[in-house]
Amino acid sequence: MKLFLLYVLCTPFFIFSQSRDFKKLSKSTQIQILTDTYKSVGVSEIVSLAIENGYELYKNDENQVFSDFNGSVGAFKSLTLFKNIKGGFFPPNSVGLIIKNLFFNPPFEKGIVFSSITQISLIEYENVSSKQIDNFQKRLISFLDEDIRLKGLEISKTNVYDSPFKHANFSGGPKYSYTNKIKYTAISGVNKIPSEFTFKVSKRKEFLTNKDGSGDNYHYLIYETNLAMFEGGLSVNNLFEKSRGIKKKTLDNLRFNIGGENIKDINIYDLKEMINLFLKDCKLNNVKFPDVKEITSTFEPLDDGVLAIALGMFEDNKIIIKVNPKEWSKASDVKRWYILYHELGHDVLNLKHGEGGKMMFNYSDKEYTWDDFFIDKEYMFNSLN
Amino acid sequence: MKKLFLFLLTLIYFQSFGQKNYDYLNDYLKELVVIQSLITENRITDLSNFLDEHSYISLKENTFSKFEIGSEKLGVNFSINTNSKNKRFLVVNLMYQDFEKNNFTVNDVQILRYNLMRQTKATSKETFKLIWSFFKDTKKGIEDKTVQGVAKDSSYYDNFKIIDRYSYKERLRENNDNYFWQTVKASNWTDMLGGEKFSVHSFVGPGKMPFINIVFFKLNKFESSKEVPTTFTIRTSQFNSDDDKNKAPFNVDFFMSLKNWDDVIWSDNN
Repeated sequence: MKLFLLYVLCTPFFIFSQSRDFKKLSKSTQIQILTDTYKSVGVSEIVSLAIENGYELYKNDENQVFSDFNGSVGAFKSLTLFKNIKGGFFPPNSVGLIIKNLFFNPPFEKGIVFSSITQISLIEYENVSSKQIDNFQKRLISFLDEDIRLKGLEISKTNVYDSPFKHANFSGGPKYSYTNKIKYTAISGVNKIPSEFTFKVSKRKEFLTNKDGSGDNYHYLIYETNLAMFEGGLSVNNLFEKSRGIKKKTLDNLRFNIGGENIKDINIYDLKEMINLFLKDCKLNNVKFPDVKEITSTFEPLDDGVLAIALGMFEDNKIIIKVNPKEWSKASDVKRWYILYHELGHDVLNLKHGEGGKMMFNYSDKEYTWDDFFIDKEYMFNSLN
Repeated sequence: MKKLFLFLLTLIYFQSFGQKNYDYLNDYLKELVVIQSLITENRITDLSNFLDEHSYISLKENTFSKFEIGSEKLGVNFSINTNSKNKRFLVVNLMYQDFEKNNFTVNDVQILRYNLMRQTKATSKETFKLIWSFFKDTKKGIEDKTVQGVAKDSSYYDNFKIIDRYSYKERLRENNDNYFWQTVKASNWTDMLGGEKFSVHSFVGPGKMPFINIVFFKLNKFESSKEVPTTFTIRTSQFNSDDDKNKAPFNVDFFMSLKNWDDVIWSDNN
């Protein structure tokens, strides 16, 4: 019974501590590159680190280092690194090859690696036994398992048998009959939010015959770290970028739509229609204004540089706006609306320069964005509530 | 000793994993109330900031979602819709990130609805919540001694005790010989507006809207095992009166900092 209690109490410490082997291996940059456990996510830094550790860049048939892909979530690039195996972490006298594919968002200088596939092939021969290779593979998988456990929470672990590792770069290479797929969640280093990751690993052995009739056993280990947030390969970074764009569109639609009318559909040469939209906007924003009985809005030549003037300030029943046709024809739509709201701020809301925020500033900017217009108008209306 | 230990282990297991904790649904409800209020008050910049601060992402126009990835928690997804009178409202769904799990029965949805609204009610045998407008009148009736005593043959103050501005106690009959005291508390919520097809939970809250409605399609005519969506809508009454227009805009930070729905009785202007 006591032994049982001791076991229950100690289990969490065993579970959450790091093994000595993991600690030792995790300090080596060779292992970090091999297992994608480096701290960086920037492709250029990772490639520099790999080259410092003896990897070479592979050039494709077109003599290019980068290969371009067009996925469902946009364009991405890949590059291949390779290295001949010599001692170190591997069994003594090992002969073999590491091939590593990095997938990242362009451009190279600022790209983020969202997926990586690594294949390690080792040849079994008189100096390196099958058992040594097997032990090495077990040790590496155990390291990767431990890394996942320490940085994330495992969601599921499944074996998949339907053509794993389909990627083009390995299409001509050995075929793996299964994949051990681990889904886990962890805090993303890029966005600091809990994100879902997938890790896949598989191994196989194949006897390959040489030209002279002799042959060797090749032992392959392959694994893929996939930083995609959702199945289908939308990276965390891409996802947020895409979300920002769609969100802006939605919120712009909310903004452009004033009481059921889209501001962009209003004829900007029909001043009365524009003024009526302003009045509607005031009502929607809960801004009280006097009952307007007379609207006089005309195009009339004014001094150069003056786009419009309001003459009905403090005449509560009247709106009198004069617009300079020369300046109006040159101005952008957003500037026309901005200036009209400014003048109606005087005329209808009786605001002076210095009241109601930037929209009521004495001087106009050379150009405005729609964001300027909506933010400054929102401020002006809110200042009256 | 061994039996006791096993019993404790079993108890811990059921307490930890046997019941799902849906407390986070209350947070979703609070956030949705804020979102609908900001849309109604036409505060798009504040809305944009709020959506970012609360980790809503948009992968489809007019639609926003929030998932805690890898968690067993349900995510929330809402779309902004416009009715024929050009009033905007939210259509909300609760769903798992793993779409294969998203088969909800009537029974499941009733449990979700109960948990979503649970903290707005907090009604039990000991406590009863009453919307402020009714509470205020009833309490005034007690103070003016115009409310009839519940228990027969007892003096007036044997049946009511005023506690403070937002609560009083009422003595109720449990059965022939037994009585119990129930605390009646003022609330911002009422579900009196429901009808045959819909149940409506109204929140008389901060901001310029007179109230916000959480509307559920009633499922009581369906079999409990029938699969149904988790959908509900959030609608506001538009502010029209001068009283509404003169109210302060929705103070998002203050509202979000409150622990309980009735920490402030918003329609009590005194």
